[in-house]
Amino acid sequence: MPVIRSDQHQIEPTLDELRARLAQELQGHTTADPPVVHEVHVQPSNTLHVIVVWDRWADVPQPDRGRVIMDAYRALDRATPGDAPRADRITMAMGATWEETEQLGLLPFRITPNYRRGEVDDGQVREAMLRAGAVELTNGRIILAFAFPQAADHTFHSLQEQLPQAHWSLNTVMARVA
Amino acid sequence: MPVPLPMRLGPDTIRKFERAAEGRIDEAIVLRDAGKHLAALYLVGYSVEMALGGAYFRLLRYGPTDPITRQERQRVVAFGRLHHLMRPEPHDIPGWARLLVHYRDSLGPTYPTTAFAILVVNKAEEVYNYWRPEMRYRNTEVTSREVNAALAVAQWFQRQYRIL
Repeated sequence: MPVIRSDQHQIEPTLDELRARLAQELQGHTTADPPVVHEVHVQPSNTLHVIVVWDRWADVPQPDRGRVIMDAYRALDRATPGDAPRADRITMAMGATWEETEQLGLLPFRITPNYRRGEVDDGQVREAMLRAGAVELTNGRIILAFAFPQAADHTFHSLQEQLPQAHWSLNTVMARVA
Repeated sequence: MPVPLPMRLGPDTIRKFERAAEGRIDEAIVLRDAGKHLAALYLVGYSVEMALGGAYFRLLRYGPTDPITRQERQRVVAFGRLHHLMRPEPHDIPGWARLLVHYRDSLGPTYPTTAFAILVVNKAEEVYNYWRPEMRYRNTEVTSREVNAALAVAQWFQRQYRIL
C-alpha cells in the first residue's frame, strides 16, 4: 500500500518570508519581485476585500495564503497605531498567482496603452504601468489589471494626465466566472 | 408610464434574497400541488441557493438592503473556486454551503457544533442531488417524492436561516 507522507513544517520558512515581505510592502517598503495588493473598501459595510496577486503563492496552499495576508495586515496595524485598524475589517482575503487571476477573471478591468511607435518612449510607458501596479509576465508582456472599477478608473485618469501621448484605454475583460 | 420590469428589479440585496427564497418555496408548493413537479423542483433549488447566498453576504457584513453588485458576486464565486470550495459549474449550491463553513472556520464566529457545519453542507449536497439549472431546458419527468425531498431541505434552510 502506498503511504504518502508530507511534512507540514517544510513550508513554514517560506510562509514566514512571505508574511514578512507582504508586511513590509503594506508598510510602504518596496521589496524585490513585489506583490500587487488590490484592496477595496466596501462602502456600506465598511469592510475590506483584499486580493494579493503574487507568483510567490504558487507553492502555498490556499488557507495559508489567507492567513499570511491577515498576519501581514495585523503587522501593519501594530506598526501604525495611529491609523484606523484594517485587519478586523477584512472579510475577504485572497492570495492568487497571476495565472489564477486570469483563470478566474479576478482582475477584469484593464488599462492598455495604444500609442504608435515614436509617439512616446516605451520605457516611460513601462515604468508608468509598473508604478501603477502592472504585472510583468515572463514573456515581457505588461498587464495593468484591476479587480475594482473605481481603482481602474482612478488609475486611468492619472495615467492620462501623466502620459497622454500613450493614448490609454480602459476596458473590461469578460469574466469567465458565471 | 410604468417603469420597465428590468429597472424595477433593482440591485441584489440580502433582503431580496430572503424574500425571494421564501417566495419561491410558496410558488413551488403551488406548482407541486398542480402536478408541475419539474417546475416546482426548479424553484426549490434557487430558494436554497438564495438562502445560502444571503447568509454568506450577511457574514461578509453586508446590511439587509446594501446593494450586492454582479462583480461582488463574481468575486465571491472566484474566491470559492480558488479555495476549491466551489466547483466550476454555475449555481453550485453545495459550494455556497462550503463557503459559509469556510468563512466561519477562518474568521468566525464558528457554528455552535461541528456537526451543524457538516449538516449544512450535507443538506446542500442533498438538494443538489435533485437539482441542476439545466432543468429549465428539459422536460424530464420528476416524481413527487423528489420534489418533496428537495422541498423539505429548502424548508430546513428557511428554519435555520438565522444561524447559517
